[in-house]
Amino acid sequence: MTVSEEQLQSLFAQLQKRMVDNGDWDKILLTLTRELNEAGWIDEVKNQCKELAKQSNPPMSFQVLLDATTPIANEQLVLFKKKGLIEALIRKSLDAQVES
Amino acid sequence: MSDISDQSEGSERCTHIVEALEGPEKVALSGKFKTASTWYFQRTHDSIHPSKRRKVASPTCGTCSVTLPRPFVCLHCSYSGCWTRGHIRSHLRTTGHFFCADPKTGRVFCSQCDNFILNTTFEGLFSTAVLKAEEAETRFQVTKKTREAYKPWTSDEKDTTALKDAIQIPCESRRGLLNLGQTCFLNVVLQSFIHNPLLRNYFLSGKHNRATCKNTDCTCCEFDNLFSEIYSGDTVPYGPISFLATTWRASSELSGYAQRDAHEFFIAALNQIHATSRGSTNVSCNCIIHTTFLGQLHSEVKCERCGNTTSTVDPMLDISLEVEGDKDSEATLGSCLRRFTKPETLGSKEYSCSKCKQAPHQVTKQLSIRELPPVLSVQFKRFEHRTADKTAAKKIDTRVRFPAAINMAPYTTFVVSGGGKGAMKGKAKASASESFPYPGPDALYEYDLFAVICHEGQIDNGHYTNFARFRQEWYRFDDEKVTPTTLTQCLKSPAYMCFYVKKHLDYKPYMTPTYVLIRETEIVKERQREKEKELERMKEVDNDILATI
Repeated sequence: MTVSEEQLQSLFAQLQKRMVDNGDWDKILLTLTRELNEAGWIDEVKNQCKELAKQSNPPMSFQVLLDATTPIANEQLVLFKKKGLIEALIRKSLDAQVES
Repeated sequence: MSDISDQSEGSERCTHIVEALEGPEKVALSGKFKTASTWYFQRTHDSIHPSKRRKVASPTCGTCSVTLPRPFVCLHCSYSGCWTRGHIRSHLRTTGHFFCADPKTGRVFCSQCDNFILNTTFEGLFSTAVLKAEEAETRFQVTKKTREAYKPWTSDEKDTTALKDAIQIPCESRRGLLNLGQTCFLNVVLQSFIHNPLLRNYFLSGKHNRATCKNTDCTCCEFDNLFSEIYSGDTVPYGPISFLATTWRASSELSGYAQRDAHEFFIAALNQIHATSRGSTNVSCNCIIHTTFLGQLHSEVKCERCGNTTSTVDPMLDISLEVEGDKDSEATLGSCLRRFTKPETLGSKEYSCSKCKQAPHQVTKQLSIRELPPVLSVQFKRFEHRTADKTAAKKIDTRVRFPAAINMAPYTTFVVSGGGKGAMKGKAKASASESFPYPGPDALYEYDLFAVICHEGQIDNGHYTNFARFRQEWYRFDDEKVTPTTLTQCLKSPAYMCFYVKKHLDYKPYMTPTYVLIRETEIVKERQREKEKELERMKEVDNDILATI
């Protein structure tokens, strides 16, 4: 059975709403933030943003900066070793939803 | 510690927001902004630290109806939207509304500038609103008291007159220190004090005035002098000669021109400042050192046979960590702290249980932080003395990865001991909540890095340098050489000591210091004695007059 793009999006929206409502979204996000911080990802990305923004005069628009640093940030994620931990937390939350 | 932009530098370029704040929309805009900021803090806090059965409301995008964990709110109407799909910006364009905000960070976006803007008014509103909400959410663990509310300083008449003719000079601390003969260990520690905001504020506000101090060989006077020199605006490297001389006289073990351990000097300096501070005491001292650096370490010893636990609380001025990584992964500050707070099995000879009185038994000891200091100093134990012979010592060069910001909650007694008993009533259904059992708010546990002391080379043949942050810029200090650098360079360096300062300070209610009270009562007593002497003299004069008659 093939699932349409629309159905996928609608499913995602429902699951996300439940996760936000029961607090799991914020908790997992905070855990992810802490792990990324410990791995040095947050500091590295902040530094790249800052150094990039410094070079531009007049100041860059936020969207331009965001577009320039998103690929760099994603690249750095390769070094992030705790991906499995976060995926396990998300799985646990989704399983709890499916059961109820 | 928010970085308030300097208006005179012209960095506040958005005139649209300035105009709007001068017009009739001011109240509505600021009101909406404050409500959104408070609401966002409260919602995130309730999600992560559930203590009541409060329903967590989640807004949806006005355009695509997707749930928004990170909404961007229009400041003119009730619309919220997502950023990534461009909906909030389209809303601003189509409605002609100018401003929206990100209530998580308090940043305001101006559609006419097509950029996020800097505005001191909104920064102030955000800080105040979030702080107020945090204060209401702070729970003491031992009493039912509420947290002391922050009161911003307002100048009274005395202050205004004093400041009227004062000349404002820029706050510049980027000055190198001359090496006076293997004194790089001294220079790096001094730079870490110079860039310590609490120490800086204490000395620059004249709390220890070297002109009126009556101590001899006073370390506080030397610091008062040092701060005046560093912040004078002169950029020629300064030689802390009198400081060195005073230090030698006060701690003879540090005298001489041999290379010393920076950490050893750091502790000696803390003790010297404490000893020469006005009103310092041996118990519950209120001096600048103890209010800045003092925390409490909780040590719990458990007898594995009968489960009896004994705990002690010790004062700590800093934390010394063994350098170790988590099995296969690299050493991080987090992994070192986890090792520090891990239960450790003690040999049965070292402990005898008072309850079960049987031997032999297994005993575990666990450390945790009971009270976090405003400035957290961390030392990595790099110099291993394997034998009593100091020359056989080895240096541990393992790099430790440390962050620019850290949340210390996982290492506090509350969390390490598995959450307070009965402290959390009505816990909401725990899904991922096991990781956040402490009552929060998180701001109380958050620290920012401001200085790093590095050591390169061997124990007896090495060199100390340091990094320090001035506002949001990092600088590298190598004795007299000061160079601008980046955070990345600092985080890559061979760190020996790291200094973190709390992002948000919490306050006790103001109390006049004991020595001031004593001084005032002394003055009153002195006046009384003078009066009595005067009366005595008058009596004698009267008697003399009577005698002659």
